[in-house]
Amino acid sequence: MENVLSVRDLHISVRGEKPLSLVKNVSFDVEAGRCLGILGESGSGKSLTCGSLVGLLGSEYAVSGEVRFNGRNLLTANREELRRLRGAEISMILQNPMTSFDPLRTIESHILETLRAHGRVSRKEALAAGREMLARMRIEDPDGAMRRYPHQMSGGMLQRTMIGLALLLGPKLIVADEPTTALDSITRFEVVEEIRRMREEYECAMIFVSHDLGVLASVADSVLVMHEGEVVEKGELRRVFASPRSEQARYLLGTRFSLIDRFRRMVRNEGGAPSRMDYAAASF
Amino acid sequence: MLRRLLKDKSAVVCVAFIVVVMAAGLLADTVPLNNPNKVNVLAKLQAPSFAYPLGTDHLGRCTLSRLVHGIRPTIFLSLLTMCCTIALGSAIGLLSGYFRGRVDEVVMRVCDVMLSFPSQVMILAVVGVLGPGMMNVVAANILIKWAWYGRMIRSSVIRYGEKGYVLFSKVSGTGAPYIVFRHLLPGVASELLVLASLDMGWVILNISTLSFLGLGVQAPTAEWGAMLNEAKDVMVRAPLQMLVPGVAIMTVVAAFNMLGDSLRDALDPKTV
Amino acid sequence: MLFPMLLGISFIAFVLVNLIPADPAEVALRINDIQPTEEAIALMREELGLDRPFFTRYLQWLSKSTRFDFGATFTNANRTVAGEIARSLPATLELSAAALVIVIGSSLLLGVSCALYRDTLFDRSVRLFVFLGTAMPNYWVGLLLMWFFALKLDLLPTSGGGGWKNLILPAVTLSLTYISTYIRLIRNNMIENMSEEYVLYANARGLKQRTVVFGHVLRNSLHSCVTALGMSVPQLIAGAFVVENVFAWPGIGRLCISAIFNRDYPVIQAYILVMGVLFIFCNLAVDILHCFMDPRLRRSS
Repeated sequence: MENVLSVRDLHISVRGEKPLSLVKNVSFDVEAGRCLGILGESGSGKSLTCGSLVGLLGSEYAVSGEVRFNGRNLLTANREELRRLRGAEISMILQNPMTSFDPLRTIESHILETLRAHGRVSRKEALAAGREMLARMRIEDPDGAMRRYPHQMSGGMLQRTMIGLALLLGPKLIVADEPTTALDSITRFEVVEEIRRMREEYECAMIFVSHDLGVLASVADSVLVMHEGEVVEKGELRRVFASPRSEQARYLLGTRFSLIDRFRRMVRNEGGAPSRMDYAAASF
Repeated sequence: MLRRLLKDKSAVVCVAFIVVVMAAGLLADTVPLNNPNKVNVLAKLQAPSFAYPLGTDHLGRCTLSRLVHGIRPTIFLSLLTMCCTIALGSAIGLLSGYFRGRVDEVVMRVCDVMLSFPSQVMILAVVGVLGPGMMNVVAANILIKWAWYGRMIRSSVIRYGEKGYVLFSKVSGTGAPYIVFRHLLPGVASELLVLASLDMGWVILNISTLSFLGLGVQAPTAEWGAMLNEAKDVMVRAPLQMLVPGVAIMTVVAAFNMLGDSLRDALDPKTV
Repeated sequence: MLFPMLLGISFIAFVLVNLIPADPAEVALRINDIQPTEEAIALMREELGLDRPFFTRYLQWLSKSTRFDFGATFTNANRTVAGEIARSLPATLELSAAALVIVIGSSLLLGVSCALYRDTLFDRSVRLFVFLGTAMPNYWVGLLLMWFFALKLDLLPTSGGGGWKNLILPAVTLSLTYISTYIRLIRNNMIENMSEEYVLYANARGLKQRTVVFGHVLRNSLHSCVTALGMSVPQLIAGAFVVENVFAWPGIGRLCISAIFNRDYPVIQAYILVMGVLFIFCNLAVDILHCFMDPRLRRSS
């Protein structure tokens, strides 16, 4: 399968008298239609890596390496090229839906401006597309939702709206940066289900960053484990989870397993190899 | 905090400048300057010369001398105003914050009413009632600002009062005055210092404005605002007279403002 | 909330003036160059109603005030206080309005530019200008401007009320104090808002830089600025008296200053009342505007 995105030797450091290296030698590929999970604790460089792909890091960061998308190296593209890519070919889903929307504007306004930033679209067409998208995200009363302000909607609804907005223009790649971390367990389950459903329907490639094993197990095909800015392990999800090779990966998985194990023993009193569905159920 | 302040070069420059200016004001009589009040109509509106380094005003008085002598009314009156305002505001704020209850409520209502009135109107009102004059202007300024300090001190007192060591003191039975002076005051003092230095500039501008309008210092006292008032009549012939006191006011106020900013930065834990 | 405040202000105004040590009757006589004999003073007291008890006088004054009858001025028995105020208030409002327009225009322009071109030479020069601006006495600035534009370049008149040419210098002078504050406010608000998450998301959606800055950052920044601006409107109007004095602009501030010199107490009293009322209404207007601008507050209003 061809690669939608290829990253080689990505280096991110903070500019200054003493440049601080935050992400080193990161390389990975994302194949069409597949989901790459990025696992790591806080500070491992996951969010920085995501942000650097489409040039969203501030000028205080220096980024080098190669990020190939559509045959172009995005790190050498100019601002306007990158802008046109964002939202249309590479979309993002962020961690905090409650603060990602402009509190002074309605959902409708967000949808309209996103569509208008990428081409001429009449108000009627845009609103119709928005309504359809919200309905597909299983948001009740899409018309009402569009006219509402962000503070009038719950975290789960806002996150689903964000997912919908990410899909609106038919992107080739969606980068999701810890989209479920700020949600409560039940909402998390709903959103993960939404993402799984969306992946089956839309066949777009995805990068899913999380520190939650259960969520990754439900969504990702392959996984990248990061630790202190470097990639410590790469491979198919099943393989990495079942037999992690690197020390850090083993530690990460091990600590989580001991928690899950207790839970499973309490609930089922069973042994045996954990399956994907077990993880999904055990993550709350 | 003092150490951090000393590291800030601009703060050190400001403090040095202010100290020099104040010293000049205090020593004005002992330093060999021309008599600031000596009228010499023949020498009026002269350009700067050796005898008169900044020229003369419309009555032939030495401008430099008047400038230096003017430090006293301009700056020291402002200092007096600030001290009285802070003393009054702090006293009321401390008592109100410490005792709470009915006293606190009443005092806060009064503060609210005083604060809600636009300060310029109040100044004019007070000066209008008491009439023009130096002390009246000082009184007007004190009357306006005490409520602001009272409020600030009160909320600081309440905040500090809930800290552990104060509660402990209360529980162990130490008397109220001891708590107030030993524990609350030092904590509040540093915030006070920041507010005071930022406000000092405002007070200086206020007093000089009123003197400019003829409502403050009365002739022939040398004061920078009053000097500007006299200079405006001779603007065409001797523009220098108009520049000198204005630049003086601007630099002193700027020094106090910068000092206040530096103090605030030194206090702010986030900039460590 | 509103009514007791109005009442409070009127009471303060009345009390203040009645605290005057001098005998108003005597003062009124002296101003009109009438010899203050015992009989004349007694007559004047009766005329001014000063022989009646305090509260009666207060209520009488208050009821007259609601009908805009403030009595005659001390300086000239033929002119009513209400008339004087009616004559000069529009001039002050005109000056304040012009200054307000200048403040809004320049601080928006400069504040936004400084936030966008942060830490460049432009930003730093503007900040220096702002810093010095807050340290300069505004009457001095007025004098300097007058000297330069009116006398040296002979472009504009030096003083007096009238057409737009007379308005420029006083309006610019008055606006200078507030421009400094607002440039700083807008700049800081914008810088703060630019690091908010909704800006990141807007960029992630591929919105044009212009849309992000003006559609999102600016709108959110303006929010708190509007409140601050609204609070300054009465300050602007009240503070105009200095500028009016420098440029001999025939406004209410100038009226009050001459009233102070002439000990014309009815005028001073009425001035305090009018300004107090104006102040309260401005605050009310700001509160309403505030609610209107922020959808988060609309529910509770």
